[in-house]
Amino acid sequence: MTSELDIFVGNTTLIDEDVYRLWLDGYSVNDAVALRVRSGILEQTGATAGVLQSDTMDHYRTFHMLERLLHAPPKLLHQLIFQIPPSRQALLIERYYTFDEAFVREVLGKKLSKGTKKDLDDISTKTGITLKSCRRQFDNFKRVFKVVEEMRGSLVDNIQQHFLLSDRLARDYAAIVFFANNRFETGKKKLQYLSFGDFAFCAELMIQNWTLGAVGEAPTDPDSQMDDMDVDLDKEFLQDLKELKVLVADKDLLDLHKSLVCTALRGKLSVFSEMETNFKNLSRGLVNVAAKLTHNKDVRDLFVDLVEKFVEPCRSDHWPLSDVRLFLNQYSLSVHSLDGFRHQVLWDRYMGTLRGCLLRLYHD
Amino acid sequence: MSGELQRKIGLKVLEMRGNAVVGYLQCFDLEGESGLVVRAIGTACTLDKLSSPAAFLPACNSPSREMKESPFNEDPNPNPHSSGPSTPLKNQTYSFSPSKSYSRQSSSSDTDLSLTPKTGMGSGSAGKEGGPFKALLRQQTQSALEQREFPFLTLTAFPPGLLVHVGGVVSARSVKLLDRIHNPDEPETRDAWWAEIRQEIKSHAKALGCHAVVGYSESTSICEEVCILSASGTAAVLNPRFLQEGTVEGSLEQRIEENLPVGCGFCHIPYDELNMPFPAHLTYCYNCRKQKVPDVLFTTIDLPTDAVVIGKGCLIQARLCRLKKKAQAEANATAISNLLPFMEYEVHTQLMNKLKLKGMNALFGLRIQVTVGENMLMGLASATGVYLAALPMPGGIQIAGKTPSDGSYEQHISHMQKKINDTIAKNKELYEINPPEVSEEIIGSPIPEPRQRSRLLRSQSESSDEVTELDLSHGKKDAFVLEIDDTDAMEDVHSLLTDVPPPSGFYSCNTEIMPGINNWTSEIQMFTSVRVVRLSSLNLTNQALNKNFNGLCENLLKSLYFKLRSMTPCCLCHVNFTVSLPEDELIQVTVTAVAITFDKNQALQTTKAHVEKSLQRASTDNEDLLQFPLELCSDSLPSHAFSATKEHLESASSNSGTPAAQRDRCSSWIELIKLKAQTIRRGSIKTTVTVEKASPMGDGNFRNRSAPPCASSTVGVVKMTPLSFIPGAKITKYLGIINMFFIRETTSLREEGGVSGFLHAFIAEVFAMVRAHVAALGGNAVVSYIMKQCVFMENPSKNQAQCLINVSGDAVVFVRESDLEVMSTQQPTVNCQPSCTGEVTT
Repeated sequence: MTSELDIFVGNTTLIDEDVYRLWLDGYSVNDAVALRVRSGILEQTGATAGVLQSDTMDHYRTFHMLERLLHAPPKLLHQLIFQIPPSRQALLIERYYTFDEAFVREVLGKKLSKGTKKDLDDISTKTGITLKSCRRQFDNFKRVFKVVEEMRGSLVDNIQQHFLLSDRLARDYAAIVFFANNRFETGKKKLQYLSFGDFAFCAELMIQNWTLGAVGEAPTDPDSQMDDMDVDLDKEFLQDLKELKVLVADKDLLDLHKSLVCTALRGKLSVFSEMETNFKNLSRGLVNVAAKLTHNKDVRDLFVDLVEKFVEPCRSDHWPLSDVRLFLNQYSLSVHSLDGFRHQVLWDRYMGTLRGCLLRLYHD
Repeated sequence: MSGELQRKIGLKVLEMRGNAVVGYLQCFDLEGESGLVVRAIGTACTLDKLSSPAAFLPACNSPSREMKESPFNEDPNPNPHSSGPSTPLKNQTYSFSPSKSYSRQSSSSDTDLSLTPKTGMGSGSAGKEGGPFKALLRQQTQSALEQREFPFLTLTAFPPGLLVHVGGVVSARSVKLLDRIHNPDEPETRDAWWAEIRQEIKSHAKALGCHAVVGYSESTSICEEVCILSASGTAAVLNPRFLQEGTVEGSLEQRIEENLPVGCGFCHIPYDELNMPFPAHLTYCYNCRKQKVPDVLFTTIDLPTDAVVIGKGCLIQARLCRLKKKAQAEANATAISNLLPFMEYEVHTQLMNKLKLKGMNALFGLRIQVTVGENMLMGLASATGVYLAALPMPGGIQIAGKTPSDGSYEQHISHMQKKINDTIAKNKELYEINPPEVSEEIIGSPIPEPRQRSRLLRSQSESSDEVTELDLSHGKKDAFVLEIDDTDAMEDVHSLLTDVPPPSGFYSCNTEIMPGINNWTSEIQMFTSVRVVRLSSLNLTNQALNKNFNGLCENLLKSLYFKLRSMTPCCLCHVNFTVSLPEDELIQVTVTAVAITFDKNQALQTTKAHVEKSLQRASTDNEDLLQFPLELCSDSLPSHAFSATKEHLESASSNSGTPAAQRDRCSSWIELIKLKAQTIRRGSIKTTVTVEKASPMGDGNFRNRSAPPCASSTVGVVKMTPLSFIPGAKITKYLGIINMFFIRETTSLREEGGVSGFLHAFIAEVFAMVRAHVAALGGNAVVSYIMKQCVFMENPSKNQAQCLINVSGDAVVFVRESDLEVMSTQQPTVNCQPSCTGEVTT
């Protein structure tokens, strides 16, 4: 006796969260059944393996049919085929767009192109995530990217509106889109210690402060062919950053800056002497990073540079995080007291963001 | 075609002076070459304003029926007769039927009938079938005379008091050859076939001392040119007062009332105990101790709302397959005809055994489906078993070995016996069956006829007669003896024991509601599940086939329990199995049911609660009472004060004291009638106005709805249920019948995920289309949903598949009870006003 056909259709579509997770993780029906058996569900419910198999098949079929709707979540809300309570719909969408930390670290900042897609095999072997799941996650990134890339307005809002994601997830996707668009290098060995959360945090700060959208010009001039609001960095701003060079190029200014910082921090830092000796190097590093940002290539290496020029020197001297915070605060604040320096606003826009990023990046 | 049929029926009802059709059942018979038949039966009735004293109920009777055929025009062989043999045979075609039709009237099936003893119905009605029947007809017009010959009701639920006695299941089957229809375009032949079957049903009912058949339904199973026509119903005695125009007649009814204690009257036997139509074991009713009741009761109707039930009910299924040789035409029909009686018997035995095994004594909602295929016959019976407090406690099952005893065999038997006893004990616990202990003297009082033949012997062949004569009445009084005379029987006993009870937190039944569970919450989940299995080997034995089929059904149920485990505690209601044999080795089983969750804490209802119920009756609100205008009729005669109170009591206990679910049912019952009225109105014409203004309650609800009702319901959600009510909600408006056909074909089966993917998507879409249709009508739910047909055919080698689905139901608007309460407190006058008027006018 073989089963030719076996289906179950509910007026309200049944969603089993566990099976959904297995499906999202890219397991085949048989693997999923095996995993469910291992979870002890048979003992709990007194079901047989056959029942489990049929149940899993049913759910997989349903998910398969739902998948195309999940590609455009608003469609899931407006479709009539599957009657799903709103809370369940939200869960379906949220889970579908949830990604693995390990996977996102691999593709963060890479171009979401066919080429990268071909590398998914390697990523799959490296991370232990099934290829199917990798594809889904990659396609999600790409889909979100394509939709919001050309869009005006807040990146997070756009994503939320078009993909109905939770705030948290929408922010993560904003970071992914932002990184993909600016192609920030994140894969270098030096950067391996950083988590996606670290990058996402930086991305958010940068989106808030360094993009065109951040300046708030959009409403006044909606028709202009400006670059995409939140996705691209403010080119003008990057050009202006060159002006900051004076801080390290002008010897007097640099010395004055150093003495201001040292006076303020004397006795407050456990690593005061190290700071004093390294001040010029650190300052040069930070300002040079700013000055280089006019070139796309250097924009991509932003994080590499930050780690090389600031995080690593500090770490080698064993600065505690609190000292780094005190130093960076004082370092940016002292500039206001430099009479000969005219770019206070620019400096704040640059340093305000950078300070946040550096503090986040500074860990083991 | 279905529209044309509806209009025809509408006209017929008008002729009968009815203005509505309730319990409308419409079926399509896909006969193949000889045509396509639409059959429909329903119950004509007169709806009246609720405030007027007229009967809203079966002021009517008898299913009206119409047939409509249309042969396939594009049929390459437009003359279906040509395939038949030569002319001389033609007569035989017809003669085939009467001789070959079967009734399942055998002694076994109706163990349950009894007589109305003493006073009661005596003179006026039951005893002589003419009596009430005449009353029934009294208000029929002359023109509808010919309709009287079938006093059948298609309804399965009735207002309290209508059902006086229930006799038992009556059914009839007939095997016909479709290619011998003389004039396939005309309905005469088929009309004659059905008329024959109905006549037979009627005579069975008469034999049981009943004048009416309720819960009546008809079905067909077609395979090539052979067709099995089946009809079944429950013989019953109806209260004549309900069948007249609301006038109360003399003291007869009063006496009936006095003699009918609440909740057990319907169990009392309607036939003469000295002249029983078959051997049965009668005892005095355990409830009132005045009248006789049978030891088991089988019915096709829902459990009456006022029935006293102990514990919970459960789904009981009997499954059976029989191989038959492939044959043509008459030989085939003969083979089928020869198999049918044995199948009936077997199915009945299984049901009986399983019922005993569950420790229960009555079956409701019995539905036996016999399906014919190329090389086999399948029988599937589903029913809901309950323990009726009025009936005697079922005896156990005893196993008797036949073969000369050798040690190990005896040991095996006793081992099995122990297992059975354990199962019974376990089941009693599971379904909370703890009948109050009754001392023997009270109940064991003399039974005039000492024929205690309640035990059924399992018999494999013709030897049955001889075996039944054996006196096996040693041991327990009504022990049920299972004889193991061959391996086949062994298998059967095993299969009894392998039926796994549903996991904890689950109950299932095929009736509207689960007896013993009352606190439904509003979470419902209706579903359809389809399975097709291919039988592996070509030379199957009956046993293997049975085992396969059993496994299929059990697995299906298990799957359902597993899938719906998140809803526990819940009950699968209205579980409806349909079996078809689309191809040689294919078995298709389709299940539609609804899972309803209930509140466990309050669901534990015992008999004691019943007493409390009657105490609560004082709080009954007028509105509910008014739904049964008949009570008001009795009010009108002061001399009948007693019976009136009694009735109030009855309805009170079923309306207010009893749980919400039942109240839902009662009210929705009325609504249902209203709805059908509207349905018919489409086809007919002038009744419209009265129907529209149907009831003060309706008005009240309409007014209620002008308040912000729909806003509260989530936009777009359409609930679907095969039941006639929605738990925790009140149906405020019926929008009409939904009857939809879908045919889907694919030529890219593999690409769509194979057969499962194809059908899964199709059924999901069918649901979606029904929902969309209802939403477009302004409704938010479908009640009485049924999937009448699901014909699936595939041709994997061509990568093709086809499917035809026919669904129907009633579109309704419902308002949650909680919302309703808020509204009614805001506008208290709305509900009270009409009821007062009602009271005054009567």
